[in-house]
Amino acid sequence: MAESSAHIRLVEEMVNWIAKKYLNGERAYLLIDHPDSHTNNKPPNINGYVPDVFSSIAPPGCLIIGEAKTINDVERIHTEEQIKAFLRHCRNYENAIFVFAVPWQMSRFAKAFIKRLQGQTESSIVEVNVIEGLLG
Amino acid sequence: MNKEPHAEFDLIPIDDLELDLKNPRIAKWLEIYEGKPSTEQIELALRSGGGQEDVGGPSYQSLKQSIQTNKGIIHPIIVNIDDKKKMIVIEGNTRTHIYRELRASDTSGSWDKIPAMVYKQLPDAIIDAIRLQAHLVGTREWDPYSKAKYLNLLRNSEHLTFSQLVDFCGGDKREVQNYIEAYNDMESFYRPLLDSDQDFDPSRFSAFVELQRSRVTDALLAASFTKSDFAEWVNSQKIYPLATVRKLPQILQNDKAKAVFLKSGAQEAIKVLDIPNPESALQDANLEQLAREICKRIAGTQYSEIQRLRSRKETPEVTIVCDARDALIELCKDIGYDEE
Repeated sequence: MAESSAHIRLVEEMVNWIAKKYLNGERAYLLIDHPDSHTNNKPPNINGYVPDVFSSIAPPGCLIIGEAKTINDVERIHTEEQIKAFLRHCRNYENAIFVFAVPWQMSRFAKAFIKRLQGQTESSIVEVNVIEGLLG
Repeated sequence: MNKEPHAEFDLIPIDDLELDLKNPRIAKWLEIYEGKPSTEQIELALRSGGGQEDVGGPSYQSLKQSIQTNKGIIHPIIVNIDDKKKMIVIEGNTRTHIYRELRASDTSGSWDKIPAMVYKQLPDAIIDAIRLQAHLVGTREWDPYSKAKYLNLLRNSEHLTFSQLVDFCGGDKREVQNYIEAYNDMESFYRPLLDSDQDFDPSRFSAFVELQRSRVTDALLAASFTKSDFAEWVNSQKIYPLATVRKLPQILQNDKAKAVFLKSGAQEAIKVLDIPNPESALQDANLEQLAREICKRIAGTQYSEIQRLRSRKETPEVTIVCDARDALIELCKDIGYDEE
C-alpha cells in the first residue's frame, strides 16, 4: 500500500523522538518501515502486523515498537487490532516500550485508546509513550 | 543578487484586473476551449460546480454570500504586474469575479476596487509557489469543535441570529444549530466526567453532533438513558470507532446487543446485530459475488425506488446502506485504494 506523505513524516518524527529519548540520538539501531529502508532493515512481522519502528538490541535488554498513524487512520478497527497485537508481544518482555505517533489533535484520544487496549490485552506492564505535538 | 519578492497592499480597480488562465480551479474547464478563452468563458469556468462544496473550501454561492455579508473580502487577493504591465490575478480569481457580479447587480457596498497584494514581474517559480500554497495547501480549516465553540460564542454571547451565522459561515441553519447544541452537550455532560481539562478530547465532538439527531436522542430516551450516559460511553470509548454512534439506536433497541454494548462497547454489540440468517444464501456468497450483485442492483435501481429511499432517511433500511458504504471505503483504504 502506497504510504502517504503524512505517514512518512510521522514515522520520521517518531524515529527522531525514539533515538533522542532512548538511544542518545543514534538511529542506526532502529529497523524502520520506510520507503528508503533496505529490505534487511525493515521491522519484523509481529503477530501478523509490521510496525513502523522496531528495536530489540538497544537500549540493551529492551524492546521498542513504534507505530505511527495519520489522522484518518487512528480510529480504525485495523489500527486497534494491530496495536493489540503489538501490546501482546510487548507484554512478554520485561522492558518493553510502545511508542505511538499521531497528529497532535488525536494525542488525547490516543492516550485513552492505548490505555483501553492495555486493559484488554493485560499489558499494563508495558511502558507506553504517545508523542505530543506532532503535525498531521 | 537574488531579491525576495516584495508586495505592496493596494486597492485595485476590478476592471484593471485580468483573471488567470492557469488558475488550478478552472484550468481543467478551460482545456475544452480551443485557442485563448474569453473572459466570459473564464468566468463560466469559475462558476462551474456552483452548488457543490469544493474540497477544503466553500462553494461559490457560500463565498459570494459571505463577501456580500462582510461587505468585502478579508484576505487580499494576490496580483502580479507582468512585463507587459498586465495585472494578472494569481490568487483570488473567484473573489474578483464575485466583486464584478456584485457591482453589476447593484448590490449595496463598494465593489469597484478590491484589496490586493501587488507584486511586480514575479518569476514563474514564485507564481507556482504561491498557487501551490493557495490551492493545494491552503489555509488550515478549524477543527469542528473549535468551529462550534466560536459559533456558540457568536450566538449566545454576541447574540447573532442563525441567519447571520449562516451568512457568515455557510451551511444551513440546522447544521449551525446542531453544532452549537453539540458543543453545549459536550461542555455540559462530557467535560464534567474528566479528571482535568487536559483530558478533554475535542476529536470526540462528532459523536455529540450525531447525538443531535432525533433517532439517537429518541433511542436514548426510549431505553431510559440520558445524555450523561452517552457522554460516559464516549469517554470510556464504548462508542468506538466514532462511526458506531450511528448504530446506537439499533443497539439500544435490541436487548442482547444492548447488554453487550454496556459491557464491551459498540463494536462487539454490532456483531450481535449483524448475525446473519442461517437460512440465507447470502452468507455463502464471497465478497466479489456480493460486490457484483450490489453494483448490479444499484445500476438497475428505478428512480421511483431512489425517491422512496430518499423519503425514508434515518430508517434501518437506509442506515444499513450507509454503513455498507462506510465499510467499503474502509476496505478500499486497507487494500490501497485510498481516496487520497
